[in-house]
Amino acid sequence: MVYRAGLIGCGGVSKNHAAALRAARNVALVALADVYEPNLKTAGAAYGVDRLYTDYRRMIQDERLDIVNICTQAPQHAPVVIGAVEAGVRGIICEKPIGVTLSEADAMVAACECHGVRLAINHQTRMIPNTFAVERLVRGGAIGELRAARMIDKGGRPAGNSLMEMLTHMFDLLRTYAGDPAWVSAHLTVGEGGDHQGPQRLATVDDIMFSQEALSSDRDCGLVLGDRCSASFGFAPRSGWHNGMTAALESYYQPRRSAGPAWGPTTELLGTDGVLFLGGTSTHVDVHLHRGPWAAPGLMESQGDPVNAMAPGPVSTHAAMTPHHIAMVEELVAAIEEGRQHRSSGHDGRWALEMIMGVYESHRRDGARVAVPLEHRDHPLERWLTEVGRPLPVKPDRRVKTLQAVPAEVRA
Amino acid sequence: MTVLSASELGARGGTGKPEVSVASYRGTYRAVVIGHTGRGNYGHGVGTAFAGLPGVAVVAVADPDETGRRKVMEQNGTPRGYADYHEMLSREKPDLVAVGPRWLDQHEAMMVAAAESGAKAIYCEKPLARSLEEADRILAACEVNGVKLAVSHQDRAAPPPHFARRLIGEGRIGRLRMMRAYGKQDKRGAGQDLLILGTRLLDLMRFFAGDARWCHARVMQEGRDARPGDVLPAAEEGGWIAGDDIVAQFGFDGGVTGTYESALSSDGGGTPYFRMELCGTAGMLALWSIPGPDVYFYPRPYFVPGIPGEWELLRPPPLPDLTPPPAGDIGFHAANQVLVSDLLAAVEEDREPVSSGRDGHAAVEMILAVYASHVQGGRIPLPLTQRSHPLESWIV
Repeated sequence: MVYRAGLIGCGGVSKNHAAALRAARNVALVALADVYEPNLKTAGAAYGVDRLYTDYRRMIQDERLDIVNICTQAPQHAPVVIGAVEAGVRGIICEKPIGVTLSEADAMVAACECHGVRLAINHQTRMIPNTFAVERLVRGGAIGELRAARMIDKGGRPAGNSLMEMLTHMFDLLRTYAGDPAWVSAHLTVGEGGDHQGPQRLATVDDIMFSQEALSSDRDCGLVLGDRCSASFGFAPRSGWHNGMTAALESYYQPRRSAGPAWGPTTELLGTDGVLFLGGTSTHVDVHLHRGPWAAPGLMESQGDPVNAMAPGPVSTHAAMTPHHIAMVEELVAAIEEGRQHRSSGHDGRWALEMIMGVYESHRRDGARVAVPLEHRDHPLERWLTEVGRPLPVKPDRRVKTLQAVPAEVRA
Repeated sequence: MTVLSASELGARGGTGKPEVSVASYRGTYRAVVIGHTGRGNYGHGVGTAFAGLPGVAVVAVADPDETGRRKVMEQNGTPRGYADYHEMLSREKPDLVAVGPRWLDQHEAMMVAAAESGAKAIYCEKPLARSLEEADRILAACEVNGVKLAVSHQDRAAPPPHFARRLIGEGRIGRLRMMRAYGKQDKRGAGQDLLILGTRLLDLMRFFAGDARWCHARVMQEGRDARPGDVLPAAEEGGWIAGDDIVAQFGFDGGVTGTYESALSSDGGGTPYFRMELCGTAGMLALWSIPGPDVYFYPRPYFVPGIPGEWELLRPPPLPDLTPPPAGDIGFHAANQVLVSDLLAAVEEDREPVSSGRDGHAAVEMILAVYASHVQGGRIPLPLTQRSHPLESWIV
């Protein structure tokens, strides 16, 4: 059969998703929805779709959609996912992060489970072939027993924003390789005098803001905190995975890199008998395997399997994600047909948010180790504000992001 | 990733100017050496650190073990020997005292006795002490008696760290942001490694980034969080330790972070594991195989695999040879002599030595912060408010 698909939210990120829905086998992109009509019309023309709706529920019902892809901003993920479930879809791909609070994520996962809807969160790095290769190598004992992970964030944005944008991918991949953490301890700082590259001080309740206040070019990811983040995740021994391990993260608000394969996020998976260096971003994963005793970087030789299947280099464009997005869609179809969870399920998406919120909860509690899943399901930063009697910060009144193809007079 | 040999790296010499200059002192000093053969001996060359230094006469050695004592007397050309260091101190009235034993159970007693003997300066084997209570009392005794104390963190006299610090000061790696230090991880992995060699790495972190302000650490035992009952006495009377795998994060002034790792490794670990990387906004410096002679530069903020040929080997000029090293020296003699010369200059200039008692004390504080953080279960500010050993409450 051919699955009838619709796309909700026609902002910039929708381009790849539209391309993926059109390219995926047994899937037809038949309709688009957006509350902002200029974007909707532009997207319709750009994606060759003429069934356009400002009400996504009506779209789902009128078009008898099987699948929707939700590309709205994070605060709208929960209501739209739940609305789509109620309107009768069978499968959903929702952009990451899953939501802005764990209670939202809980409601999304519960609604999908209750109605037998397959929910996928768009951590598309799970679908990159090298991610499967790394999983096989780790599970197959290529580096012995996994015992530590060292992560450096991509940077280019404050750590608080990065948690919701980039680190959600890194946390998700870490769970792919190492399973669920047991606890997190975190430390967030902000640059003194607003110089985020300079000396840092401990981030306080007064530094909490909305993501677009912290960085105006970012999406709305709710409340954020911190320019830099140091965090540790403790993993308990887990049969078939590892005999207990610790992951340490450093996130810096480093300037955005210029062109070229300069640097990006890195994860080192350290085993008892080798190391896996994982480079790349949300578009690709470079894998370097070193067997034997861990030596200094640069003095280690990459050995063994030709796991570096994807070309490294300056491929960090949105178009480079399309193959992974296609794989996300086809995996959703398979999950629906086989009656199983998606490889990047709502459960997984909620876990990534669990780790993000764990960072905030730990920092709020002076860096105490906090057990994950968290007991409190509200936003730790909002609770912090409430506890000290502060109002929520003012949310920037930002216009909906317009597609690049929107004519100038409409944008104005 | 490719394996790079030194020649492929294109070794570049330093500027020709020594990174470490030998401090000049003018006075003459009567020196004594305290050792204890069979209980930590004379440390890493501490027993012979004074030999041949201009103006320094080693007049006596104390060691309850006669054979060991005679050997060190011969090496130093020392006329008198004592079984009891108290007797030596009261009879010889030395200016300069070396406290040699690696074992830590007598450090406090030896240093307090030396401080109260009227000596001007003490040179002590690292680490300074087993606990903050002991370290506090050692510093207090030196303070009250106006004694300068230096600890044998030889890296502070070695050219690579000074060279690296100069390059950082010159902006070669932009702003320093992150330090990564890895223990030697041989059969002494984790707790024992942290105590004996971690003191050097943690001291080096302070050398580059100043005082640590917080620590979060995890101590693991057989893959789970270490817990009461996992506490062990360190080898060589080193106090309490725990764990077979330690990961610690430290925060320093200016937003610099430092990570320390050590585990009992399956392959026996060893010197190749023992190193440190300094990551800045624009590049990275690596001190591999401490105390190796070289510094490596990498033109990115942190290591990215798959881009070969970017490491550059920088060779700082070696230490000057003050006196020929004694037989069996494994590279500590020159550094010890630089540190002792500096200690004597510190006495004459009434300043802190470059590897001071305070530095040794701060390293002990960072070691114990690892356990304090783990026991508390979260980030802990430094200095520690708790002065007793954090693992004492866990002894079953």
